[in-house]
Amino acid sequence: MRTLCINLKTAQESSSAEAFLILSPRVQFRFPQFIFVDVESTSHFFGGEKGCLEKALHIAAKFSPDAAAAIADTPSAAQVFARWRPSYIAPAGKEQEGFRGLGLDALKDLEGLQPWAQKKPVEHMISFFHTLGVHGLEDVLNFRMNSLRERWGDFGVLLWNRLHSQDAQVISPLIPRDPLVGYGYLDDPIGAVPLLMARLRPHLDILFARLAGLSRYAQKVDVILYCEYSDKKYFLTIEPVSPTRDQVLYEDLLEKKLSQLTLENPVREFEISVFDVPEKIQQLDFFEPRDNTEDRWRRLISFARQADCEMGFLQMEASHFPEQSFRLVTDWPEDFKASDVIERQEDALQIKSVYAKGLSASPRPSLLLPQPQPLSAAEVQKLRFVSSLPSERIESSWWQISVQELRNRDYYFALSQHGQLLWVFKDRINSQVYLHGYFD
Amino acid sequence: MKTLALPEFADIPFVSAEHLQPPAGLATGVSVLDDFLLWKGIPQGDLSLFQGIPGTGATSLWVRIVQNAQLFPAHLTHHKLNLKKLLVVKEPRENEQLFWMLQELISSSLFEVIGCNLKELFLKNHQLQKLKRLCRLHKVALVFINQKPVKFINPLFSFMVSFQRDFVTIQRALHRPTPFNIAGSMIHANFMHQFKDSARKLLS
Repeated sequence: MRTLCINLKTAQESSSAEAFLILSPRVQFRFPQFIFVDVESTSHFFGGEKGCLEKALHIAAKFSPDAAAAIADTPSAAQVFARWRPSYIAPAGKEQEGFRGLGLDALKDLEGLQPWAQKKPVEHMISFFHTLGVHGLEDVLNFRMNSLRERWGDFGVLLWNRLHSQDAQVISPLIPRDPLVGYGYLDDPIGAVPLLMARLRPHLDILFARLAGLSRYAQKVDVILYCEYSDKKYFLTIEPVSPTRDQVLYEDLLEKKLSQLTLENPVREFEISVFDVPEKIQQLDFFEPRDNTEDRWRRLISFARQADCEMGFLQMEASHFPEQSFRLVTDWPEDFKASDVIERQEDALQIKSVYAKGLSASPRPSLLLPQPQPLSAAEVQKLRFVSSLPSERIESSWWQISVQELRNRDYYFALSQHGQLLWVFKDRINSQVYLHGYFD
Repeated sequence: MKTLALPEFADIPFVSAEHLQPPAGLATGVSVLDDFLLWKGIPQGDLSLFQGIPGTGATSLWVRIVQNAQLFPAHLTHHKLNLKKLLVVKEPRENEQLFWMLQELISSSLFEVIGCNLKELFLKNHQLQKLKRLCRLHKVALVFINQKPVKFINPLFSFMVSFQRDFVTIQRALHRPTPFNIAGSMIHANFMHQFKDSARKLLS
């Protein structure tokens, strides 16, 4: 069994192992800072063990800047190498070769998944070997198991087994259970956005590394800021238009939101929770190029949404009422097919009539008023109607006709005194003329 | 024989008209306008202002550029406009937000043309200056449509057009004699496609 050991150097939470699920499903965390990954069957995905090691170090950099890793046959030897020979890959089946040149202190790290119960026997053993004149780890390999058992009993046997790769330690698959939350306590309360962001960023790094390991997307991120002195809490919710794992986007959105905030007191504690959704797997066409600008669209729309500004693409809807014939959507608009669908099945012919297909041919103004604006009799007098007959009649079903909703209209073109070309309609129930748009 | 008035300039190589590179512009498709302007369209990387009360054609000229307010999609599709390439922003409530939004839009470098219908809002000069600098950097043509025409010609706009009842006045343009009037019919004929639609025969 080939084992990758990552020494994160600083104490971590057990959930940090989730970030390494990319490398293999068999991942185990050992307190305080060790992560063991079984890469026997998965290293070829990363271009061999070297690639796997580099990938692991890349992920580990998010947890600790000086993380070290090594690969060996057993977890205990891998841990020794991660401490004493960083980035070492022991040859398969001959990991003892790597012990050459290492001091006896390395015995303290010969732990693997099960740490030494007590430090004392190891220290005693090291000092005893020193009195014998044995100073290198490779010299300890020359002792027989019986001689170690005579002096140290079961402990000696375990040590001999670990030195000779006989101690079987199995890394079981990791089932992620920890919630995606981060918590930080600031010794010196902070009120400035750049400083606060600098403290939030490591937590976001870890959360997004875990998301990547779990192969999930973040739908939204909630940040709660607790103020010093007062019990004031600030709840910030960041939700882009679509779930994503783009950490930069979340950071930018968070920074914008923070800069709009006026704090009562400096922030003492913060809490980040990530709401995750499954990854959307999109089957791309073979020849379809990946659209890089799409991310930028989403980014821009997410920015706008956060600033309470509506933004999106216009999508045509099948309705003959002009004000209902479009909608603002945040995703790509669907094409409006303004023609009947003709299906042929052998000899049978079926025509599916498309509603509002006449829409595409009918004249429409470029500016439409959100609400029709009633015109007074004097104003109507001044208008010059282009035709005496209406250009279009739009009405709803007879059971829906009501005066309030203006569902019974005759549309005209009219010219105003100032040379404006207007789109007006006369309500057929109350004979009132309304202005509805401009051919601008 | 040609003599120069100032002999010390005799050996200065003058650039001939063919070698001049006209500044970049986006064609409007209205030939009268395009031929008149040095940009052969509206200036790219600069600010333009179209003025005119609603119903006189300012928006349609803008749409022609995009073909390449609350715009009404049924009208846009007539112009063979791809709705997937048109991002629409609902009007912001405050001036500050409008300014912020415009900055974001320009600096996203996703757009070639940005049209902004100034309904009640108007930007201050220092804001316009900042936008002008951003536009130049990102090569974006920013077009403002003002529905309440003003007489004052703001030098921050490098191109200003005013739409009136019977004619269109170019109030400001690079290296061109302004104000310059164009008969409205020459421009409006390009906009009111509905009336040219032979199938409906609205104005026979």
